Amino acid sequence: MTAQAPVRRVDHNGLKVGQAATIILLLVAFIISSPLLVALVAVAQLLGALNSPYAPYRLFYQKVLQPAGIVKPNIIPDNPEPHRFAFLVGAVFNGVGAALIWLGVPVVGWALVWIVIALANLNFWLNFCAGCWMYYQFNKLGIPGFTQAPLNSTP
Amino acid sequence: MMWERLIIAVSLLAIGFIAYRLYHQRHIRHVNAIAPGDPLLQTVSAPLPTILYFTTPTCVACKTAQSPAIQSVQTILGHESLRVIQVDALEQPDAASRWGVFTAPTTFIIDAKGHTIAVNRGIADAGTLLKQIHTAANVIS
Repeated sequence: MTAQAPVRRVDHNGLKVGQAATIILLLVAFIISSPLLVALVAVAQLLGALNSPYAPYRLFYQKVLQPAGIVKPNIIPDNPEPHRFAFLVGAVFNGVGAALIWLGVPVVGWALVWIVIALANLNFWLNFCAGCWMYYQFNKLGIPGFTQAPLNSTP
Repeated sequence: MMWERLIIAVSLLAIGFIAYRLYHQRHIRHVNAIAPGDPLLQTVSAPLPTILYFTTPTCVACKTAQSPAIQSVQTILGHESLRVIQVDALEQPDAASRWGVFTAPTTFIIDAKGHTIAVNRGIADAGTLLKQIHTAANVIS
């Protein structure tokens, strides 16, 4: 008898909360012209990418939205690593964007922020995770660190 | 200054939304143009509303959410009232390309005359599918 690896699961509604928060906060950052808020979003995404228990989106979801019954978990079999990589990509774009705005290159900086807004919208509304897609392409190419292949969902 | 940025943000979001709606309408027109001669629909013998369901072997949401929703709809309506054609987009990339599929799951709701009346990119729950099929064929009494 062979031991089977436990099924890995991801709460996709937790991810949706992160995407929605990212969209809203980045829009607010753009409207009030605050690279500081962009940088804070980048830090929040970075903590999410590192799977930190203090990641703000996670705390907001687990301590506020879930207990209040506003959002219910939607836990399905999936690899968490591609989603963390997507957070990391967002953190890099926002981090570089914030730095460029501070350094006096606002057009490029805000363009990077708007790319994150667009990709987060794509993920939130159409379930297309560009970061996850990149992760699995890197896995296919055998790039070190991208160890997780897509879960085979066939029965 | 803040008002200007607010207007820019709203404009960009509106442009994105309008671009998506235009793309959606164009996509519907495109699939309606190719549907009559498309090999995927040639298996349809009786004039029934159809769900054309694109999936991939690696699509977790397809297995955990979309397939159960479609099965549930088929159970409610009965196999004689609804046809489901499932297509593996990785096995049939040409079909996915013809139908403009870029994400899995994608479901097309096609009426008995072969007209696509709805496209769902991402998960469509059973309630949504039932409503769309009802629009397509009035099969729910």
